[in-house]
Amino acid sequence: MKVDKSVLKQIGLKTLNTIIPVLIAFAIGSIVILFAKENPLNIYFILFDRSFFRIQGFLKTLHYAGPLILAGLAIALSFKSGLFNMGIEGQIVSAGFVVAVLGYRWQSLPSITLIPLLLVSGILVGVLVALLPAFLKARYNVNEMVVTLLLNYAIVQILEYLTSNVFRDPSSGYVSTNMIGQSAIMTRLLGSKLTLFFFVVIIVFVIFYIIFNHSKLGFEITAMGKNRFFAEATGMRIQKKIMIIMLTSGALAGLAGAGWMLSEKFSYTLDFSGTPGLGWDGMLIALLGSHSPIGILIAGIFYAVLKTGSSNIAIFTNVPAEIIVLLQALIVLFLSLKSILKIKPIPVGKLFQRKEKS
Amino acid sequence: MDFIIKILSDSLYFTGPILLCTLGGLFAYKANMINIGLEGMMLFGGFISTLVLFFTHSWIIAFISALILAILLGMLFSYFGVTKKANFIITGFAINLLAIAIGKYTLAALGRIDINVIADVTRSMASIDLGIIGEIPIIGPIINNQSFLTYLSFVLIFVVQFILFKTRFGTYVRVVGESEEAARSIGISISKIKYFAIIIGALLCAFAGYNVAVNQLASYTPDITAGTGFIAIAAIYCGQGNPKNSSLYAILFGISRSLAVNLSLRIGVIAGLLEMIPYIMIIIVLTVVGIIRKRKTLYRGFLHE
Amino acid sequence: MKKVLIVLFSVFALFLLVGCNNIDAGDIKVGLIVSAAGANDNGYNQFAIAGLNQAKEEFGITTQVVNTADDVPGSIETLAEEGFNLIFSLEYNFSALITDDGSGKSIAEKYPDTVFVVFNAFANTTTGGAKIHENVIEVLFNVNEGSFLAGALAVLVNENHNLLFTSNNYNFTPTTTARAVGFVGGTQSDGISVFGYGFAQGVNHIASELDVQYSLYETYAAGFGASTENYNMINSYYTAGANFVFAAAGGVSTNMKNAAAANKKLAIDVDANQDASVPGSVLTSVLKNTNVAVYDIIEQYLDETLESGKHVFYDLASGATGITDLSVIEGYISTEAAAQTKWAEIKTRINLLATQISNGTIDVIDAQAGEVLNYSTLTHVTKAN
Repeated sequence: MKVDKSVLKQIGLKTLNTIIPVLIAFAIGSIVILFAKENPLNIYFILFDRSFFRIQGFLKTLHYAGPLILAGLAIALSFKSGLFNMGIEGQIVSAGFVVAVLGYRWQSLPSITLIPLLLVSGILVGVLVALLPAFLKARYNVNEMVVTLLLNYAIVQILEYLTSNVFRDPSSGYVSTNMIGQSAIMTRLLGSKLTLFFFVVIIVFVIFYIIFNHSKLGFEITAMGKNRFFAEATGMRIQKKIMIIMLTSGALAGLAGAGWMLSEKFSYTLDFSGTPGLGWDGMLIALLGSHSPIGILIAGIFYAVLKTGSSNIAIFTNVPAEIIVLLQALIVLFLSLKSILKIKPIPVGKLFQRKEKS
Repeated sequence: MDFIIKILSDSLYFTGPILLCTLGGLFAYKANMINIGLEGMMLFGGFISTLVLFFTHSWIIAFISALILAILLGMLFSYFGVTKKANFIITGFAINLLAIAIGKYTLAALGRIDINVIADVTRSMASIDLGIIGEIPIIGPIINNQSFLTYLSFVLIFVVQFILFKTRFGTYVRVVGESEEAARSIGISISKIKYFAIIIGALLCAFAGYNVAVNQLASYTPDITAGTGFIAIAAIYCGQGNPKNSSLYAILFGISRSLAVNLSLRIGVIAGLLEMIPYIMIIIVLTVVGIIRKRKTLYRGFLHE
Repeated sequence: MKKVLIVLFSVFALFLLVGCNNIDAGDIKVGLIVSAAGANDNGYNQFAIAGLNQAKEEFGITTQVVNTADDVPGSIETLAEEGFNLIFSLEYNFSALITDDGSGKSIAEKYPDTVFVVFNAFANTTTGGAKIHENVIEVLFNVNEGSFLAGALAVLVNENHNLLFTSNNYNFTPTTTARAVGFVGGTQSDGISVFGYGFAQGVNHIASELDVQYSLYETYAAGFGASTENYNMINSYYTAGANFVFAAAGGVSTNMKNAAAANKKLAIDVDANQDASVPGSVLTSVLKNTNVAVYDIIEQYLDETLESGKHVFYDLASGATGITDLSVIEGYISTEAAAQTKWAEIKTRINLLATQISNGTIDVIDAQAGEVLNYSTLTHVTKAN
């Protein structure tokens, strides 16, 4: 593909538009840190040094980035097409829960069969949970944002009930399912936190990248998001597309949940997904990465740095670790100004042309 | 009988804040700006009012601070969403995150786990005795002893209905929502209308936050709103922004929360499951509405939502 | 040459001797990981930090408090990596510490020279009762005993509330109308039922002695955050006739105390001494004085008397559990002589009960140890819901 100068300029502007909000957030953050009587530069140094510039720390960051990247892709896929699937969080925790239960029940199986089986189960659960809002949207045009949002709440309640009663580990002093069998735990590599799951994520990412940028489906998704009516007028079968997009999005979320369970958590507890939750983190990542796969990859890693860094801030400084939550909120706020610098939108017509060339 | 009276009375208690957020949020909805940040705006309201009450011991100053913060938040949201044409769904989401973040950070910095203002909440702030009305059999005990803002929330249904359909401002809001082209052609300042619609919403959310944090709980922790803002969004959607219809859904939510809490007093362990009733109920309602609407109109892909 | 060797050898021996004698406290690094409730929870965590700071001042050790809940195993490992000798973790998150997380070794195995201390669970014990790692210590508080005392105290006060309190301060439901108490648990777990069972037993103990029937309102699903739902629920316990509610549910306790204040009744709190948090509305608090445990263990570590791989129980006798000294509520007892006499009598009775529990005359069920309360054995308590 011939690289147009204007395209390059746009990529540059886009990158700047992502970096500027982060810088503004960090600037406001440093004012808050100054109030806590600490040196912001020192805090930010600790934040990045240990989780990015040291090899073990970096591998740990990659380990945490895995599910985040998947969640980001799941969000990007639906948002890009103009569908607001807010249910990623619910899909992730459902998948995590089921995988925890199955990982305990099926632990007599050898790892080589069990782990793929569990990952696939997670994907299926994600798809199943996404099925209801997808169907309602496609068939009856019920607003998917409301349904997925509310389903999250309902799912949390159901899982809380199941975890604290039906599937509870009776020997545990706190609310938790039984721990998955040793054969279900993914092996760590290079003496670090990293597991094979990260490579699964990379494979999924590559497939996703190809579909997103070089296939008819990827193009249609973008077109749908740009202009629904126009997309429909070109003869796309919108209803079917809605199903495909929502369910794929669910599948990615399910995989994220399964991987998080098998590589990090090992049993389902009520804080499985953390606060604010992997699904919500995914939303920020998708935004940061401006819904492009490569962007999400970078944003996922950046976000994982924040996450692992927050523990280091807690360990090595006196600033409340809540500063990270504050930074995240500020980043999202300024990111919503999608164009601090103005970008000239690519005309839809030009998209067609590019498509034909490749 | 007592049990039913209690369920109904608690329904009012739970409906109050939901109703305030719903009525507030529907202005923005009608102006074609969905405000996801209702939850955060409510939480900010609860936070600042307890914080100020805690230090000043004056509910008036606390209430006014909540309103001022609400106006600022509304202006922030509008500046981003209207003036800067930001993705306002995300802006709203950011406000929710920010509300939690600032609350948590402040508590950590103050070295507290909550902001408890029970010492500054008098009996009449928590609930108002209606006197003779409270004596009426059955009705009396149901409606008696709610907070002022809860009563106000029900009055507001009619006020909002009036504003939206009988005043010039209301008409402008609806015109802006239906067609910005049309609004522009008759010389309405679209941004101004949107700003006002959003700020009204922020103010009512602050009412809701004050109602929960000061009147009902007399304390603040970052989880007191418990999804109220999102439920309000659902109610707005279900009633399509019509004040009476949306309020009806808000009340429905209040009733199901009350049912969940009260039934849990009787059935024990499984009670946890009852808490999902409100959420499932609204999904069912939305589905039924969707099916009916589909039967009524010819449906082609994405049409009006 | 020989001389030099002798000198060198004796210097070396001297070092050995000194080394044997005592660990140099200045080189000892102690880390403490705070649970999700946060460092300023007025209780569990805050007390533990106080214990750590006390040890720091007295022994001159280096300490680090980790104020996080996000990645507990990661924080434990980072501290171990940084060469911390003794690491306390107050959070319920043991998996990576105890079991292999896929890296081939658990954290406890990876750092065999580090001593890890976990709280409130038999995390280092197999179902068969064997210990898993030598360098992990489990600390358990027998809060069931304190809860028993709280239950007993509630009934004793309830039966005499007319005498003890003046009616303009309080608005108790008279015993002629109802006899009821409430228990609010955050979730269904041993860590919570240890409070609930002890409380119910304590209520039953005094009720059967007086031959009166008590209703018990109970929930084990209130969650740990204050919401209008759980406020409303606790409020309905009070309005249904309960004069005392006991909550072991984290942040919900604020709601309980405020509901007690609104109903002019009394609440019983947990973990720290919360009696003065809403003065006059808290009867007592069931204590978990983590400071005692943290200080003790550091001291034993420095003295090298710490037996690794064991459970440490802190019971009533240790002073790390129990109920408060009741000094705050005492200020609200009527000044009349009869009231004061009765109050003194009740306090004596509670002390006697404490002794009886300590010497084994009274056996309080311990849910932490896997024991389950059979409610049908409570002859004078009926579940109301």
